Amino acid sequence: MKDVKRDELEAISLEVRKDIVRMVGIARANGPAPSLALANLLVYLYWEWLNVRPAERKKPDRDRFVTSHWDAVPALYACLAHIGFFGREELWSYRRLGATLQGCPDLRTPGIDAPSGARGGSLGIAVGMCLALRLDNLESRVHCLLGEDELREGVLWESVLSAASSGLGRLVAIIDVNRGGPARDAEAAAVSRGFEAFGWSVFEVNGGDFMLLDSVFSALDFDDAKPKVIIARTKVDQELSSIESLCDSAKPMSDDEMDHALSLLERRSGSGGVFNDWT
Amino acid sequence: MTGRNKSGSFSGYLEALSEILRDCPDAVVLESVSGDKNRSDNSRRIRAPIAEQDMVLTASGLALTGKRVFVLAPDLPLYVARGYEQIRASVAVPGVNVILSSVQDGDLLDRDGSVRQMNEDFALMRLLPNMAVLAPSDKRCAYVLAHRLLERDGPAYVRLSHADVPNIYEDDDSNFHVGGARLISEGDGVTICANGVMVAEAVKASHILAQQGIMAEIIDCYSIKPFPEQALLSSVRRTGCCVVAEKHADVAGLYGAVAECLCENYTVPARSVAIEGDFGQSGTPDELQEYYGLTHREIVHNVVQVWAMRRR
Repeated sequence: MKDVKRDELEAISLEVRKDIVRMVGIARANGPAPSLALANLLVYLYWEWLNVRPAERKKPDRDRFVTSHWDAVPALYACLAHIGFFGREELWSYRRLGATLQGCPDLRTPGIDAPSGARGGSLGIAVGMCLALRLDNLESRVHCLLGEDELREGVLWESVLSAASSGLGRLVAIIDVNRGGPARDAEAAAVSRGFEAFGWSVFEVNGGDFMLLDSVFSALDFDDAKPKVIIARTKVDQELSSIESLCDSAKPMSDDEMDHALSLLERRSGSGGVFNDWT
Repeated sequence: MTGRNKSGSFSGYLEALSEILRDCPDAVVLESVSGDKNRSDNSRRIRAPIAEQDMVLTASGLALTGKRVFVLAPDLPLYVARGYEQIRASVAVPGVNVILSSVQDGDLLDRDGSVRQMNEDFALMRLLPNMAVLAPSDKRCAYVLAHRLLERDGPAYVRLSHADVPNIYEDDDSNFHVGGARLISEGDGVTICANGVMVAEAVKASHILAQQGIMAEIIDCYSIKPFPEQALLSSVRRTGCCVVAEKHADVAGLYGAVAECLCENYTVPARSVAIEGDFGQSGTPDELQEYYGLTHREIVHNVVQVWAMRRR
């Protein structure tokens, strides 16, 4: 990946992150930190990796993306809006009655291939999709984004086993690990060994770095029948994480905090001041 | 009424599925297999080792990619309970074309006892919006309903049976529909709503009742949801009383559907012949049917009671 490309993706991600702060702030939803941390990864997927186009959103051989990682939903919606699946104005009614953008992914939203299902449930849906695509001789790949908390759900491991025994080489699970600390690191290591023992190919990557993401994804070997799992470490940047409620999953942001977060993001894009055109 | 060959609704359903696989390129059968058999999923008859919740999710994924999925799990009577959250969130909420089926009887299962005997399946599935609930009464009925489900969009649950019941319908009978019902015998004394294996018991009961001068009108309520309201109402308007017979808990199954319909439209005395507030236990199918009172004698007993109170 060239530096120019990276700069372009960084710029898109900055806009996506601003919209995440706005939509979560307006919805009075809880902390957008996990979504902000995931923005680069999703921008990489939607702009560089996934074979999906808003103009052909029912094309049978498109790639699929499913997720039951609810913390990631604002980032997903912001990406889908920026890439053109629906207008950005939909973001401002996220989580409201009758909205296109439901709290959890729903088939009514353009660009969403599967309902989120229950916790840990999206991997099983991805397995079914892979089987159907293989029956149709299509080369689409199925991507499943999981939060690290979902790894504790038993149903997920049923699907880990069945994906491996079916030889679903076109299945790519992505695990978002956004918390640090020694206990977490030990758990992540155990998870990685678990996937490997079940017959998956395991990769690890810094989920915030476009160059590294590109080298991991473009090296995936889809002729190999092993399903793939990418353990992506993500982190909210230092400056934003100083805003307390941003990282608090139980407390909505206040208007002031939202403005502060936006101004921090704005400063980086060089325009300065609080960007308020959404009101 | 034919009663020539004996065989359960499960065999009729299987026969239909093999025709559907042959004729419909979008159809997929997802079948759970016990033991250490390997997964085979390169044909449209996918066999997978038992993992109930993953099986439901896989069915959803197949359906979301354009397949019409028939889930066949004859050895897993409880998967609708174990996979309930998956059925709810990934099948019923998106309303995809997944047809769930299960078998709730058989010699092995009945000897396994309470943990493996599921008497709440109609109730659980009825609760889910979008979900149709069917309980075919014989081989032919199951065969035709499988084909009907292929023509219809949305999820459904079909309860099948291994029980060796006499055939009720002729082999060329095709008058079965999702949301339909069949009048098996006409009468003006009492309405008996039954489904599955209890239809045969209702028929036996009607012979005894006829000797006592009560002419029973038997409705085969093979479709619990959508519920055939008009068939029930036009019958109870003449008979003025009703007995429901089902191999299910006495709550929220067919009796629940009948009672809701009667309360809203035309109230008549009604009684239920079902499993009352109890789990199962080990036994032979015949012993269990006797123990839990799922018999023609129990139907007769209840008919006599409601008949005495009938609305005139």
